[in-house]
Amino acid sequence: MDDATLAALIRAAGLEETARQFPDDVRDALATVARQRANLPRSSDPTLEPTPAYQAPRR
Amino acid sequence: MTAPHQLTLAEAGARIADGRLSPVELLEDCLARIAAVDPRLNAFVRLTEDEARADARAAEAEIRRSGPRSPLHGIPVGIKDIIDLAGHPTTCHSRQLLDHRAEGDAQVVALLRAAGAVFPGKLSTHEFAIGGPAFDLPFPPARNPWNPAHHPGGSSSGSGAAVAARMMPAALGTDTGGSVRHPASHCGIVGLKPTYGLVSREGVFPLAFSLDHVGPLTRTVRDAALMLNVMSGGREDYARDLGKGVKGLRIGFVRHFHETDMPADPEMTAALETAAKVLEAEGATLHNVTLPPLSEFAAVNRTVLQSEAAAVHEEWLRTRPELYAGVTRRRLLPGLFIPAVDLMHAARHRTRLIAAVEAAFAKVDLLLTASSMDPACRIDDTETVERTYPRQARTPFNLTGHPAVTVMAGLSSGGLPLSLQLASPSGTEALLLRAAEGYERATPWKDKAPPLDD
Repeated sequence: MDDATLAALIRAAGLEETARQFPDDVRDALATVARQRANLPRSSDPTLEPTPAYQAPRR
Repeated sequence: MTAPHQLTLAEAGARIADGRLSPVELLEDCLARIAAVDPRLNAFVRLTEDEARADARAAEAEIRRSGPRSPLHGIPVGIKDIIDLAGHPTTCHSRQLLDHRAEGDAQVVALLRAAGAVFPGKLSTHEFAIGGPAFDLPFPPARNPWNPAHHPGGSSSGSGAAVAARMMPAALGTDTGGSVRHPASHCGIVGLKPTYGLVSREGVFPLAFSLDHVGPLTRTVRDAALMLNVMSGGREDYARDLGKGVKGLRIGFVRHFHETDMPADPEMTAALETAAKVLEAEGATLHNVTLPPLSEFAAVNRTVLQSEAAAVHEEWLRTRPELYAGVTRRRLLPGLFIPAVDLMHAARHRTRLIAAVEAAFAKVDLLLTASSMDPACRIDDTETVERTYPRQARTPFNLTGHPAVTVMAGLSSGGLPLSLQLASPSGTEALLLRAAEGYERATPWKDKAPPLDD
């Protein structure tokens, strides 16, 4: 990840000060999320509802 | 004669009820045990002995006058230090909350207090139930009574260590990704995660709202049932089917969790196979059950947990990150970078995972799985701690909300506990505990004690 993108993500997360104090921890967090995203199952079914429920379950 | 601190909750409760044991005598013996062994184990972050002594004296007088209120009357129960105990700090084992004092009892503590339990102190936890074991916190991490060089599991680490070390017969823990069942597994005791929502979380510092559960850690399944009877507000008697055994029950064995998804330590695998044979010999029928791979449960759980936890800790992560232990900060920070759409994908896939487990329960009464894939490693071996902590099959039931219990299933060649997990449909804790007690009664493990007195 280039420095400009890194800085933008840190700013968006409101972590500028945290990144100044703990730059390695913040970089690791971004790397962790990137790794995890690759393993997260994604559904292409537009009707699949989330849990916890956004509507009462059908009886 | 058995020393009072060695008694299980049910044994101590029976002796208190018929006058052979006084709550004061029991508490004093437990406090003496704590003084003798806790300097090696660090299970407690705070003793509340003066208040506990006053409550034990009051219990003694009331029981003499009008009999016990419940099987828990006069029983010492330890409280994980993310659960409020009125008038005492709830530090969450963190510098962030060193000055925080609970004004009232958590709902679950209030129920225990109303049933007559006494509270000898607050127990060690991983920081905010996520960051540990860590050595850069205001209190040292709890250690494993079976070998204090090893970790006791977490995050309810003090609860597991204290109950296994016979400091008191029962303790409260919380379980978001397995944090009651993990220390129970590593300390050779019983850890119960009830159905989601059965036990109130009011007054419990949240880790992840949709995954958090409060549960008991005890030495026997019967004790877990007696605790749940009170913790759930007395809605039913969860001990009613104990003693019926497993005869006639259909048990689905989820072998792929520990054989191919996340290959377990050979001794753990052998213990699970032996347990399956024991259950069959006791009259259950075993069926191979296939669920979605453990990696799917883990990925969804991680995304949900990190996102929900980040919402809780966002302000402190931005304004005073230096007050966390390093490991806590590193585990919490990813949640602030997870895209909202990922959380929704996780929440939607969670529906599918729940449906898959529900479909399994249409064919079997219970599921048998691994709990931990490895025995506890050394507490100072940070790399192995980090590698082995996620090697477990507990998170599926945090995601689905089904009740699950872990019990001891053997000892490794290194003298550390091995374990198994049983899970059942939501709201069937009586069935779950019946099966766990059936296994427990057919095996010698519940009577094994850590070698602290050798």
